[in-house]
Amino acid sequence: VKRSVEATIREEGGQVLATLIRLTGDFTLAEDALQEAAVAALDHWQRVGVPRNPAAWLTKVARNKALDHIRREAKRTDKEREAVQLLTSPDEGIEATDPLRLVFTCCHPALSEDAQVALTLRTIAQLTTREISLALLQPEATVGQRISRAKHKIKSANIPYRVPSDAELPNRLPPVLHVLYVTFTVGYAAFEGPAEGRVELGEESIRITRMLVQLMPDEPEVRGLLALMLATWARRTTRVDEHGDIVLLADQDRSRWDRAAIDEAVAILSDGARRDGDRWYRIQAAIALEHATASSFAETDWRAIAGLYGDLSDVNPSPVVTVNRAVAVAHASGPADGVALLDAVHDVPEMQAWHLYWSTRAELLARMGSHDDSMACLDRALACSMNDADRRLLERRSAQARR
Amino acid sequence: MHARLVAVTAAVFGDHRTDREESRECMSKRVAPVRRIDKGIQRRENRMPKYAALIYSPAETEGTGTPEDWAQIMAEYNEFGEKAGAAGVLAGGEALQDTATATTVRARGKGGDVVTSDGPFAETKDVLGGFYILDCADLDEAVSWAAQIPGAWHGMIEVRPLIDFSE
Repeated sequence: VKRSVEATIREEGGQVLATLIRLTGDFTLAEDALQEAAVAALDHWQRVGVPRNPAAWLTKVARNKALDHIRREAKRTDKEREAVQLLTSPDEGIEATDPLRLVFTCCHPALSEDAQVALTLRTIAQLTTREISLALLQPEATVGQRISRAKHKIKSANIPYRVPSDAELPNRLPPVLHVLYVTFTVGYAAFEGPAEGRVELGEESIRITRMLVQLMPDEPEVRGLLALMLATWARRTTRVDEHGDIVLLADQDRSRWDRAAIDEAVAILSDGARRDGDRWYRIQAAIALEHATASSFAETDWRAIAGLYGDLSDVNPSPVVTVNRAVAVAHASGPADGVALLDAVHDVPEMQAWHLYWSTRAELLARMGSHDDSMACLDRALACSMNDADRRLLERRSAQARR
Repeated sequence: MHARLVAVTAAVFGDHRTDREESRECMSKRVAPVRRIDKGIQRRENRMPKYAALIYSPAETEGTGTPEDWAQIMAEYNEFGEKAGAAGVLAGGEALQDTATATTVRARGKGGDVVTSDGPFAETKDVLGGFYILDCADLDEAVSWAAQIPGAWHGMIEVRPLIDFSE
């Protein structure tokens, strides 16, 4: 029982916190109140069962806890009086758009990108500082400091708690999409290795992106991001086997892919009212859907995918995109063309330290018959840092190559 | 330099007259800016000034510029002062003489020896040339006004919330 109660509290926590921040106008007060309400819920729900609407229960109790806090303060300021008014007005409860407000505030351009990501994970996804530090591979103390500094800035600089106006949206949207993409990726990574990410994080990111689509149905990049998430999420359970080992795309059981999600992604992407503007997420969604809709690995349209990676390079050239493009080009027109693309980014320091650069190079060289060079690249790959699942995959490949 | 000073001063004071002597006179009399502002500008009721918009410009441009340049900048500051003044956002502001006129003062403890030195306390790439105090509801509003200060395109504006000691 305790476990399920804890899970409910965690699942509903983001929504409840978002509402509490609106009602109190104070991140820290809202967090403290939610914490106390969660303690009360753990005790109460274990005895009488989880209520029908746990989020409403938590919100009501947390509201009262927040009120107690404010009343305990001997000297009341105007701001606190306002908060008391808000908190005691009878019909103030959960609003569906509260999480959206919270995301826009957490992703305010006046906060640094690192702080945006950390604060979103902390508040919306209810991750602990330690979980965030593991997910982002950053020191726990750094993450904690970033979060508390961001909360301090929101409060003292009076960063508003609202969904921006239409006029502001073009500037405010990109950091939100980026942060949602990062939180989604952290959730997706939970399927690999030790579960450092959290599965719900992927679902939560999809849910918030859905709300964004409702808010701006004509915004192509929002639709693109949602389609990308759905197409990727549809394949999540086939990417790792029961031992936690990575299953390559060619070996994945396509019958277990979530067809409904893939169909929805196709519809969302083809349905965009506007086609101009940024295309970063739309192109990535199109690539994910090329894979998701191919009936087998052999029938993958690598020429189309190589073309899409070319488009992606035009939008935002990066060595990581080039490595992906090299794989598609190698499938479409031969490994030598792929290696030629890799050569162009070979001297980039990030590539020298990236295991996937070296393992891709190893793979293409092996297909060209250069086995010694391929082995050398695999050794370089294994010398890089990576997660356990990737390391086991590379070790398997290295052992096979030596046979 | 004077032209620039007058421009900023006129804008800060919400004063549409850009006559140099007029503004000089007001500077030399050390008229408290807030008083002048209160006269000319409608302040929003019951709202504390909340943000300082600090106007920085690259140090190498300090003291440069033709009279025509300054006239142009002056016109821009006037336009801003007029607009922000009419909106009830301006709660104060001052323009600073250039950094060559700065004197840095330190005391060795309270009541201790006073050490003065020539120049600003640190040589920086960008120098503070003046500031406005903006009366805004939140950071988004403050940023939207800061972006209209001519210093935003001649240099940059740092927006800092003020501490409200009444809280």
